[in-house]
Amino acid sequence: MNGHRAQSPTRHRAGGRNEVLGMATELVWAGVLIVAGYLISQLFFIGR
Amino acid sequence: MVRRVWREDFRIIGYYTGLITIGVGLLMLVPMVTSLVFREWQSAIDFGLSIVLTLLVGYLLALISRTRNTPGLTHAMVIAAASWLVAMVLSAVPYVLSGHALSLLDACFDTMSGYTTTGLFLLQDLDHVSQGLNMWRHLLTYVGGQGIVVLALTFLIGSTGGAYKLMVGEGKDEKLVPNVRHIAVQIWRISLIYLFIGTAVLGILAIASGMKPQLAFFHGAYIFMSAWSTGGFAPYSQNMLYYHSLPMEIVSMVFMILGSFNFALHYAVWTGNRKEILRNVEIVSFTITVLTTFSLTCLALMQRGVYPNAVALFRRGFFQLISAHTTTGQSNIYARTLVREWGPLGMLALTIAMAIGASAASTGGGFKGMRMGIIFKGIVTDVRKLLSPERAIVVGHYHHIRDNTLTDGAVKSAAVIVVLYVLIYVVGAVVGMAYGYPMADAFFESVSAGSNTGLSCGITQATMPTLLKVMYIVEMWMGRLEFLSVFTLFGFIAASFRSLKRQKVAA
Repeated sequence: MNGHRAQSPTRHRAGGRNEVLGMATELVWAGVLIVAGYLISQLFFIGR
Repeated sequence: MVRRVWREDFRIIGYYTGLITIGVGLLMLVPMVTSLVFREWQSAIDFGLSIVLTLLVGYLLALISRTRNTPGLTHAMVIAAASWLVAMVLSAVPYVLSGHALSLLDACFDTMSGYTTTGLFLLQDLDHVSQGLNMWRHLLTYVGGQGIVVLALTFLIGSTGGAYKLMVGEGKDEKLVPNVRHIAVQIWRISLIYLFIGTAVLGILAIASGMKPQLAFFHGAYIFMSAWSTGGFAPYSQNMLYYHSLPMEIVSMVFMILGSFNFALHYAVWTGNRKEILRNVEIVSFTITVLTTFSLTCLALMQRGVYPNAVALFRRGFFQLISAHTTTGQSNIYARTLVREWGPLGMLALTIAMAIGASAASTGGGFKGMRMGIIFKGIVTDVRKLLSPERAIVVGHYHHIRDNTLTDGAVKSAAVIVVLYVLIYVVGAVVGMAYGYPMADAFFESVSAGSNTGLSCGITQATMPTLLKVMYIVEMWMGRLEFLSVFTLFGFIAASFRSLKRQKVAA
């Protein structure tokens, strides 16, 4: 035993609400990454 | 010891390859209907002829080799590798008939590029290609991203005994749900839901940029399929630069990122396990490497003063970087801009991003975030072992859907595949250099082909040497199938000759 709680992939269920929230989570995460990219671009222009 | 090859082995391989070929033939109905909608009669006839030929080949193959036996792992590997070759040749027929491909080799280059979601192309006069052929190009990347075998499993083969092995042969070795056909259906379900959303959003943005509604939604579908499947094709030779639309570029970036996700991650997040997106080893690895390689890109571009402000740097630099890292290949700069303006350091940053690539069991290519994560964790575990007392038992873990124990076997197999990728990148670059291309350009183009990215610094053209075309085709094929099925095919061919020789000696 590795001491970590094994999590069954089938514990959660597919369904309309879960799917919409899941999709929203993915879109937000992609958005956050893009914003991080924009902030890095800004960082390189600080003081110029 | 390698086992003998029997006639039944050929039957199993032939039968399933035949079924997959029939699937390819049926798929050609989509571009034929598109041609009819746009009243492109010649193109519709080209697709009609191609459908007849492909269905005939597939049907005859399945008929001759008809069997009730299900494929084992060796068969599945050979079927996956062989069916991609058969699909490449038969899918090239509409290209040849259209007159836009200068030779069958050029057409095969484009279809292999499409199926492997690479995005390099040799097609001539791309700006005047029919809508039917454009649909076919983008459909190839869309289907290739999900996997030809996955498509066949969904609609033609079903849950046979060897179905899961067939998926493993194609590199989709994630068991989302116990039933194999349901895995294939889930993969298609996620892709189709995003297809509708992506087409609608990109279509509306295309209308806002001044495109006619009917054409706008077709372009929306093309750009979505190209981004989601990490393919990189676009209907025009200027790729994303043609649209001059920042909103379209941002939406495209979103779908490139989502397309680079492991289908197991999509499934986990869509079934309520939303925290998985923050803990998954591939996402953590992807985030770190994206931000690191983008910082390197910014450094290179700032050194040369390529862009005057942060918005321009973000718009060109981040788009190219995301395109490279997700192994998509969409571009909003000209190919030669990379060489003339970005310089060696900028190209190196993109080359590293392409080499690392997307997630395992996704539509993307490259080493994959999973392997990067496993190798990194393996190194950390080894260092921890060295720093711990000799009797201490140090065990590493990584999180992918569940907490997994890091075994030496997992680290070894990840390292072996990464070494194989490096090997094909280097071999492709050496062939490029042998033809006189500069080292940076040769490496960039070779990594782009081997990682199934499709960004080009200008080497990929119809006039490039034939051997280099063949080299890139092999790189795209091996890179997409992650080597093992291709090596199994080679091994099977060698074993077949050996068995034949034995039979002759016995006779």
